Amino acid sequence: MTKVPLKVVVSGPVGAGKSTFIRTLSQTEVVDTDERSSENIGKTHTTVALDFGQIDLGDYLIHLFGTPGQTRFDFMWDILSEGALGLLLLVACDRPGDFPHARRILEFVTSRQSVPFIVVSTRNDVAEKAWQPADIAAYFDLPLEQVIAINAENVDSAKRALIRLMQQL
Amino acid sequence: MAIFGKLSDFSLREVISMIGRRPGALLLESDDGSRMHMQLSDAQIVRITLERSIESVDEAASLLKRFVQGQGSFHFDQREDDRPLAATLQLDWQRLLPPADAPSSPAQTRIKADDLPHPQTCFVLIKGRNVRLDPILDAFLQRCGAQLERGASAQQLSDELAMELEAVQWHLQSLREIKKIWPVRAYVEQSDVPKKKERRSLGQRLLGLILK
Repeated sequence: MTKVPLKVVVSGPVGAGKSTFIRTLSQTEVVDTDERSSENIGKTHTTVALDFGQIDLGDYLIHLFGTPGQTRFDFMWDILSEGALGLLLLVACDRPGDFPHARRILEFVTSRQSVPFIVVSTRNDVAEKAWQPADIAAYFDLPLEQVIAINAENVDSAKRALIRLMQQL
Repeated sequence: MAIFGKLSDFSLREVISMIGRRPGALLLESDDGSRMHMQLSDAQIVRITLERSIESVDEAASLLKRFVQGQGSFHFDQREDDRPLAATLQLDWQRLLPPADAPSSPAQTRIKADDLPHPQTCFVLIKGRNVRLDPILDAFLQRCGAQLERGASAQQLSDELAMELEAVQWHLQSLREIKKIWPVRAYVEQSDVPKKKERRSLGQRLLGLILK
């Protein structure tokens, strides 16, 4: 039987944990397009096209598409978000300087595509000083239920983001 | 609960807006190392200290202006104790800050080019919200108010008003930060009821499968 394909887009600034999140949740080997960074972005490799993973849910097959975080790849946000079931916007809770860029992504996508979304706060397990979900919600002007804090390296924790998104549909 | 960051990433207006009516202590630290402590309660500044207690409204306003242009950092700690603070001042933020302005060049602003709205992000006007605008921003809003009532992007406004795209983006960002305009939420505004029901039902099925 053919499974119904569903697309979930994972977006956010560089270093928010998008590739990690997809690797944690994907049940198949993740297709990534990591290349050595040509700019100083705080890490040696970065996604230049997309990350792709899958979650098999019986009759449904969720395709996870991770967008590149760098601004010069912003044309990908629109392409990947079209027809998506939902959008997960990842932000690192200890990097508030990246929030304006995250908001830019969110507002661009959600003003053009009819896509439900949540904001996913990452690095809560390692951050010494962190913005709490309530404060992140205040920054993005969202109700608290649209923001969730997770550990992107932990399957159960990452799954909670997917559950929260389904609750927003 | 704490929020922190650089005033080059968040405007002081945004910080104030995020704090809302929450009571607590806001520390503004300028690049030269001077530290201004403020006690906030119910959207009012009730105490300001900068080496000494500041008790004049004019002096408080003048000190705050130093932080409007994006120099330094901020740290807000929410106070859990509900008891009212002994106030030496009773100042309304909105009246103290200068009107929102639209910079004529990137060099005059703390907003980074990367953080400007995408040219195709669509915004709508919040008609019921009254804000203080400087004359340049006010004139811009007069020119494109009708388009923004329907919803418009920087690209559309640039084409229709024959203005440079980047200038329109700066203006929109300034209006966005004081919440005079708001990004369109296509999901909320375009989804019809049957489609929403269908989506919700799919969400419930998927939820069941994920939790299984």
